[in-house]
Amino acid sequence: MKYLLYFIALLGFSSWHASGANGIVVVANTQDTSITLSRQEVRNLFMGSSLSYGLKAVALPPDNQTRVMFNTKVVGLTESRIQSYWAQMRFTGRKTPPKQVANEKSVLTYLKNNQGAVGYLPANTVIPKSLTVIYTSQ
Amino acid sequence: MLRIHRFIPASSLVLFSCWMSSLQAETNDKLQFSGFARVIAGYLNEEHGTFLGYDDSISFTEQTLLGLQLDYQVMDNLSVTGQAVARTADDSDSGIEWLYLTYTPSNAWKFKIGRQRTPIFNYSDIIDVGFAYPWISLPQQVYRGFLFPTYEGLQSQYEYVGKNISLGLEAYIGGIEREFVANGQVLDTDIDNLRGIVGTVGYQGWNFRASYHRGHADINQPELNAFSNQLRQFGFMQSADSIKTDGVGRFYQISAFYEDVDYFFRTELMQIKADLSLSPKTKGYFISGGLNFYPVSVYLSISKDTNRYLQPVAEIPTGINAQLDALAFGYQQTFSQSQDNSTLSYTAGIRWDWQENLALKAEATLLKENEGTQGLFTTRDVNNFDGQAILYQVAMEWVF
Repeated sequence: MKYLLYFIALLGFSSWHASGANGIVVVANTQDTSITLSRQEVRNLFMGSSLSYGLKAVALPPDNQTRVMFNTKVVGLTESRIQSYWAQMRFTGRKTPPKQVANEKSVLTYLKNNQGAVGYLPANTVIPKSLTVIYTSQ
Repeated sequence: MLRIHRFIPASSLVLFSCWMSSLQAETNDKLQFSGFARVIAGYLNEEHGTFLGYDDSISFTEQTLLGLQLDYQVMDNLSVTGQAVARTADDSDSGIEWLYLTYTPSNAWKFKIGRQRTPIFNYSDIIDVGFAYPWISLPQQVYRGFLFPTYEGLQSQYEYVGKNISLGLEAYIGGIEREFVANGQVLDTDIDNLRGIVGTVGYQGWNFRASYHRGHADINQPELNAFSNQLRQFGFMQSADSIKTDGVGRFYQISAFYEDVDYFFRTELMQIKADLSLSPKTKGYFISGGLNFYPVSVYLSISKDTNRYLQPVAEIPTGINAQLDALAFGYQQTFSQSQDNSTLSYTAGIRWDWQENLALKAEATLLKENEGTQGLFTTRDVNNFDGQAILYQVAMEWVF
C-alpha cells in the first residue's frame, strides 16, 4: 500500500513535471517590473549580448533538461551549436558565456541575491514576489 | 605509409590539452587559461598531386595544431588577451596569433588594440578553432590563403540589440610586417594602410554579414625586383611594371547563414581584387546545408572559385638576338607559375559532438580543377593527372 501511494505520488509528480516541461519562463531581479522582452531579445541576452536594461544572464549546465528546453524553444539551436558558438566567441575575444549555476533551485537563489540577474526556469516554477517574469515561451 | 615519427607531436597535443583542462580549474577568475586543439588525419587518393600538403599516404600533421589563450582582467573594463598556436605542418608558421588589450567602455562598445586576426571572412578569425564550424577544412575556394591573415592595430565593435533585430558594426585599421608561408614559400611581407569594415544583421535564425577590406602589401621578392629593374634598364617599362610585388588588395564579402534546431544553411561569396602579379583576381563562393540529429549533424557543401592573374605584356621583341630572347623567356617564366584557373569542390561530412567540448568529424571532398592547372593542387606530374582527386579526412576537435 505504501509503495502504491509512492507510485501514485510519483506518477502525479511526473505528470505535473511534464506539464511544467511544456514552457519556459525568463525571470529577472529588476526594479523595473514593467520589462517584457521579445524572444529575439532573450535569445541575444543568453548568447552574450548586453541590453540597455543592464540585465545579466545566468544559465544552467548543458545536460540540464530545462536548458535543453530553453535551447529548443527560445534560442532555436542545438547544444552542440551553442557550444561551438561559445568557442567562436571566446577565441575571437567577442563575448563570454553567461555564468552557470548547478540547478533550478540555485538559479532562484542566485536571482534573489543578485540585482539585474536573469535566468530561465520551467513555466510551473513558483516565482517569488521579489522577482519578475519578463518572458514566457509559447 | 603511416608517418609514425610525425604522429608524435599530435599525441603530445592530446596529452597537453588534458593537462591544460586540469590547470584551467586551478586558475582564479581574473586569469583564465583556455585553448583548442585539433588532430586531423587526411588521405588524398592521388599519386600525381598534393592538396593542402596531403598526398596518397595518411598524414596526421598537415593541419594538426594546439592553441592556448590567456585572458587577464586588469580592471572592470580592461583586459589583456594572448593566443599562441603551435602547428605540426612543415611549412606553417607557429607563434603569437593574438596579443591585444580590450577596453569595454559600455555594453555596446568594445575596442581592441594590438595584434589580432584579420576578420575578412566569416571564419577568418577562427580558422584554427575547428570546433567552431562543421567542416574539417573550411571551403578552400573562399578560405585558401589570403594576404592579410593578421594585423597590428585598432579595432572597434558596436552592437545594437532591438526587439526583433540585432546589428553589429566592426571597423579596424592597422598593418603588419611579417613572414607568411604560402605554398611552402616564405614571403617576407610588409602590409600597411590596412583597414576594413564589417556589418552584421541578426534576425531570428538568420545572420547576414557584409564586409569590405583593403590593404597595401609589399612582398619582398629580391629576384623578382632585380629582374624588374633589369627590364627597366633595357627600357621595357611596361614589362617591368607588370611584375608587381607590391600593390593594393581589396576584399568584398557577403554571407547569409541560417540555423535552427533541425537544419542549417550557409553561403558566403567573396571577391578579391589585387594589383599584384602574385595574387590573382578571385571570385569564390560556397553553399552548404546540413541537418541536425543532436548530437550528430550531417552536411553537404559545394564551392567554386575562379582566379585571374595579371597577364604578361608582349613588349620584348624576339628573334633579334640571343640576349633579348633570353630576357623574353625569363619574363614569360615569371608568369608561368600563375596561370588562370577555376576550381570546384563537393564535400560531404558528419560531425558528432561526443562531449560538450569534444567533437569528432569525418569528411570527404571531391576536388576538381575546372580550368587551368595551378588551382587546387600544388605539386604533381602534370602529364598523368586529370586534375581531380578525393580528400578523405577525420578529425578530433577540442576546446578547453
